[in-house]
Amino acid sequence: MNTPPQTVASIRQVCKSFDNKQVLSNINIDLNQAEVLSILGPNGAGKTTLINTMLGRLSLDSGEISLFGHAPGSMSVKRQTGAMLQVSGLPDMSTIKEHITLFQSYYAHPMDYEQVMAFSGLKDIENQYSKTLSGGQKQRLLFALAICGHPKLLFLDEPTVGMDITARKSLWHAIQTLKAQGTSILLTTHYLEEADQLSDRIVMFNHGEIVREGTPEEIKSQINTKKIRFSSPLNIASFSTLKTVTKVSQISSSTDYYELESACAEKSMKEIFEKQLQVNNLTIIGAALEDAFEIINNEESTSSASE
Amino acid sequence: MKTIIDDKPNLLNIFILEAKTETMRLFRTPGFSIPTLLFPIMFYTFFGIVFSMNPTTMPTYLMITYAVFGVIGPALFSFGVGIAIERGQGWFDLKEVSPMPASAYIVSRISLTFIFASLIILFLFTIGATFGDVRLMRWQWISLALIFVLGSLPFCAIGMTLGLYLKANSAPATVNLIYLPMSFLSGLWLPINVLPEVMQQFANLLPPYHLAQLALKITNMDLGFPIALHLSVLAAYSLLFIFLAVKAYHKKDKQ
Amino acid sequence: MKSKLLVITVFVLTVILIAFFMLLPEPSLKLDADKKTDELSQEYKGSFIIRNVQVYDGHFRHKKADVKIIDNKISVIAEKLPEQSKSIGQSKLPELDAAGKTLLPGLIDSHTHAYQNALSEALNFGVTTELDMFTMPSFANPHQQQRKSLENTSAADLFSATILATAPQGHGTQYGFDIPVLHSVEQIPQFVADRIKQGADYIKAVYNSKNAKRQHFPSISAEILKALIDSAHQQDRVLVVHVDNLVSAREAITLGANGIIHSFVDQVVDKEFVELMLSRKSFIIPTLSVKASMTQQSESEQLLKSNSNEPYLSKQQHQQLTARFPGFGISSKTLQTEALQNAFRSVELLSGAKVPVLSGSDAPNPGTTHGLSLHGELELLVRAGLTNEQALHSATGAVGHHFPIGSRGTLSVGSSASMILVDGNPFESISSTQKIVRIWKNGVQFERTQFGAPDMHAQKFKPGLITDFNRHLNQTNMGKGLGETTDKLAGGKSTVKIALVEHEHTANVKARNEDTNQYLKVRGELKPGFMFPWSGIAYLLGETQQNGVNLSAVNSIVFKAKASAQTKQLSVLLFQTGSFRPIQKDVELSEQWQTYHLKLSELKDVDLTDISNISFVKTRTIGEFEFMLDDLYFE
Repeated sequence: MNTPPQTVASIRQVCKSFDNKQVLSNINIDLNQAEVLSILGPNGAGKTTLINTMLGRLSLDSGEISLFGHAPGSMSVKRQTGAMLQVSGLPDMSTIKEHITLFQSYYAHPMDYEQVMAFSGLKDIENQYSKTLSGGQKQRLLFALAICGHPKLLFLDEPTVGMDITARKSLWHAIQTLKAQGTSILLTTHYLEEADQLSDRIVMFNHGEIVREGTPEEIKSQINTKKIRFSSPLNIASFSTLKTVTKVSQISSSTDYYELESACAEKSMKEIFEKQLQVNNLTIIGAALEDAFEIINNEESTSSASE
Repeated sequence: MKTIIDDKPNLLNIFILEAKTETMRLFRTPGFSIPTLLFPIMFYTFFGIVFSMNPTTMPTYLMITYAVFGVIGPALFSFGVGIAIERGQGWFDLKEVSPMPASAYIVSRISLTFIFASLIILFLFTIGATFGDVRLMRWQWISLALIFVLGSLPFCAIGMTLGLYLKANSAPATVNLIYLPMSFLSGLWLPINVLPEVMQQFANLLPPYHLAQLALKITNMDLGFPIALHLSVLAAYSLLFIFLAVKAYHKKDKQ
Repeated sequence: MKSKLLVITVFVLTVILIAFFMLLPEPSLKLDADKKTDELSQEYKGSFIIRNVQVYDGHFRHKKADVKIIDNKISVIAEKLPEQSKSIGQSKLPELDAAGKTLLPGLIDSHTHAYQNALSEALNFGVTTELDMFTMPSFANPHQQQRKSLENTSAADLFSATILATAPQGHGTQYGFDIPVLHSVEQIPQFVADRIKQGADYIKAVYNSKNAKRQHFPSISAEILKALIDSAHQQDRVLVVHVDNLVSAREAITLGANGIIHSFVDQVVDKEFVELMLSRKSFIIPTLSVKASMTQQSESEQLLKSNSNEPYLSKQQHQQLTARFPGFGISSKTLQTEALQNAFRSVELLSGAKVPVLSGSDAPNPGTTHGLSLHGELELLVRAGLTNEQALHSATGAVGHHFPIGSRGTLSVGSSASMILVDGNPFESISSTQKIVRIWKNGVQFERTQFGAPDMHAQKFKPGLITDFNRHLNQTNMGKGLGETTDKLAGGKSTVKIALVEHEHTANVKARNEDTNQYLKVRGELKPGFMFPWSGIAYLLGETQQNGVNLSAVNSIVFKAKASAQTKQLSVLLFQTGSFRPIQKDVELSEQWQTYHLKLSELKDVDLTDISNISFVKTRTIGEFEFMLDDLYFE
């Protein structure tokens, strides 16, 4: 079966400016069903603005956004959508259960309550007032509110901020399960690992523009940088002279763990062996998204600087 | 390809849940709900009954004006302060992007205002009847209660506009700064005819004055101006502030 | 499930709300908000107790007693009633401490003529029953119906003879009312039947024996009187007779009359007469009040001036008390004094012999008025020689022995609580009956009507145009307009037709504006029927017939008039409020328009501060008439 993926959301040539400052320029994105799309970018890149236009809270200067074939912000879209926004507080004196029950009433076919509990991990504290929640618990509640309506499209704006590693991992797991159930998810994050782990596709934003887009692999592969890690009794200076190595860093000062970055790992390895530098516990790691990100950003700034 | 099933959730259910949730929150916040209830009751007991200037008429007169004072409070605070705070939290935005019908938001707060207003009225009536020897015909009791409850609506509109414009941290103080002097200058704490002539004229600008005059007509204790005048002013305020609220709401879009 | 909970919650809340509003207190119906029950201002009605009071129950005197009234009826009169204990569920009855006061049955005036406000005027002075001796059935019947109801708490109960039995042109016919008269014996059964059908509680006849010294009016024969007596008795009715001399009295009693309703001044009763009265068990209603008035010795002025009485008398009642009979041919004062003394002596002898004496005032003849004059009658009876107790008895318990009035006049157990509470002791001073503290009618406290200064409310008219007849007749510049008036109001048959007619325009008078210039044409026919026929037009000054206006600022009434050939005279009548006898001024009419000025100062015996009606009528001459009026002014 080769059915093309159904487009859930399409953004076409969207431009938006505030006070004569262009915050979104010619944005084109498609989101398909059962797809996780991450939007990556530094603060001020325009991620939140884009989300707000998709949620119908901001108008467009030009271009078009269509969700499920309808205009953003329309009630029929809202009923298929869930959103997790960055919220500094919520009404204190309702229990988690009451919050969720209320939000569920907005939807025609909400998710089964126990399922919501399972996804959000809040079962134990479901009768606690939101006043008493820790930061991480609060995030989980917001997540629960976003998914409790069984939406077909989910917006998650920095969903794991403030969460500990266990919570983060369980949220990722929930997202992956939801995706498997057919939900489309649009995610903004500045946790590159998160984007890497979860996304089917990544869109990289900077200065209101899309600078790179593709699957995590595609993006990472656009960078050849690899990391070489090892331990060595030698001084760091010994490795600084390697020609093919672009960067040397000492990972830990107590033990002798070093990390080299190289555009071509094979060449660097050859150099090390030729120089007979003692290396132990050698590992070669492909570039993380983080790195790719940095590089790309640097590329951008250099290219823009040179213009 | 349209993949939407155009199914509507039960609107009545939303209204009820929303109102219930809002009300329970308030009742669980005794720090707010108790003063709102007690303030008018305490004032009335002191000035209307214990230290009343004229035991035959004061208890009835002040019971009415303090009831007006009492119902304005919940309206201004639940709309004015409540909305401002939720905006500050970003919670307002979350509700906005959710499929909650905007009407449910408003109706739930109006219901809250009505419930509070009713409680205040019940307390004041009981105190008035028991300790102030207030005696009114049944139709008078009922008419007053209705006037008070329905009369809170213009103040819901005013509160809504305030809530959409004010900043969260300054909202409680600002609303109090409006609520208390406005009530005093409208003749709700001391009878309007005790205030100097100039202030009596000024009171014509204030909606609580007009609501109080309407209510006082039931017991023939008003200043004698026509019903139409009072109703017009209250209606004008309502329309003006509804307009301003709508404008404030849509203005956000331009951010 | 959720909706069920909601429905229940809503239901419970609604019930609570309804209960709350039902429980909120309404103002109590008591008019005074005083918590302290001031006894004098407290209302006692229905069920209550009077303590420590002297009681005369119509027959017996209780020097000190407690009286309990339950549901508007006398329940107990006891020397001392036990203290009320508050049993669960029963509230205490209001108690009135009447120490130093006397409780009497509501008084009965056994001889009056009732019309207009008679019955409320009577009750205003504690007279709760009146026996009328001649009035129109149309007035009497509704009141006779009402006396059966316990709800009749603002007027006295009325018993009536309706129309009296008299001879053609006899006494009773001079008032102008069209009444049946008796020619022959054959008429009697039908006459009596008619009276009974018209509601007569008893039959009254007027009789003057042909053997009497004075034949001052035509009278029915002794035969007819006998027939009346028999017929009345057959129909179970008492028959009473109006006489004014001993001879007629003797004959009437001999023939079987139950009672005579006047004393007489021509001579004192003799022993035979007293014994006759005793043997026939007949009674006498001396009506000393009217006898005193007729002999110019009325003490109504004193009665009137007393502080106990004056505030409770209406303007009209003032007039009645100050009115005087014309001299009846007895010119000398000595003779008048003697005449009244004759009546006094007769009363003394009769009552001394235990002939029943009943108290009657013959109100509202000149010098008398309803209500108050009965108290005057009590004073006169005591002066004549009755003991105070006998006098009280004559106005209370005695009446029920002779007239079918049930338990009225007594405070017997089960009787309706119509009674008066007076300050002081009438057994010592009979005039204490006038110091009325409280009046109850059928157990309900009666608020006495107080009358303010006479011309307090009268509107003062200023000189000016009343009407030029150019607009509708009821559009006068002052007053309430003009309308037809004829003696049909008094049972006459005269007719009138009025029309507004346009003046013919002479060559000199051009109608410059739209206004028409009209005058009033009054045509009609005076027909026999009422004694004083009249027909014409009346100008109402006050809001109603009951409200007069103050004309003291007006000098004259000015008007233009002319008449047709046969009409020579026009009468201008000024009516004081409530009065039936107007002041009359006649003017001569010609066939040309003339202006007439009627100076008000020239009118005698009229109170200009209280004029209700000015009428322009044709009087006296029977036949057709026609006159015209225009431009009516006050100057």
